[in-house]
Amino acid sequence: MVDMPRLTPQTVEVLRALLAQPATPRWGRDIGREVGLKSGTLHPILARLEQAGVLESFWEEPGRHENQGRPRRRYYRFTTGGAQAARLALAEQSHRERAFRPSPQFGY
Amino acid sequence: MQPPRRKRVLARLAAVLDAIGDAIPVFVVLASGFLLLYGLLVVLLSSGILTGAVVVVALAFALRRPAAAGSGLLRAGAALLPDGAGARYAEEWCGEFYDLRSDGARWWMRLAYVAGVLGRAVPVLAVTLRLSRARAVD
Repeated sequence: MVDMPRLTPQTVEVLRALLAQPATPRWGRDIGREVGLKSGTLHPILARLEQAGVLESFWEEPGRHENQGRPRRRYYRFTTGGAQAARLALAEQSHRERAFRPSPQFGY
Repeated sequence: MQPPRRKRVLARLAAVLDAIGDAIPVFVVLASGFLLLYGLLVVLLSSGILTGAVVVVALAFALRRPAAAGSGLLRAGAALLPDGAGARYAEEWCGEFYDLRSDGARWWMRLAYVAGVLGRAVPVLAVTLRLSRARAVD
């Protein structure tokens, strides 16, 4: 069950970045670098999306990080139905923005 | 022959008063020592000397071992999160901090990372995670 949180401009950017490759798990700093968000802002957004059921997170396989001699990373990816819900929410938001955008009118 | 009862009571009373008289100087010395130490601590704290000393020691440690200091701060921040989330975020942030160092980020970038996590992510996550837990219980 996906319960989309409030879509702030930063949340929209994060969702767009993840939707570019929906099947590929991404780790926090990688997403932050692409979107241009600091970790302090990014992690609360990821936590909200995770709680809403849009994203899920998991630790990296031990084989990968042990070979490279670094700590393991936490990866984020869409849940089943999360990507679809995110696409719908983004489409609704852009539709709403277009509908409420004031058009220039003559007057006064 | 046994002294009368009144005399015995008076002798007992005199002995107790003697004992109290002997104990009073010891009590006065101990109490004044405690008050002196307490007053000294209050003066040190209010004048900022103790705070300054703590900051200086922490800075010296941070300059000597910046990686350990950064990771320690991140772990301390994550400890404020509800249990379960604390261990997870501590590991995640320390991993990112490690990557930042291995990418060759300068000290102020690493400092900004730690400050960003402690100043924004920790308070927001602490509230968000607690609220969601409370909602789940309700």
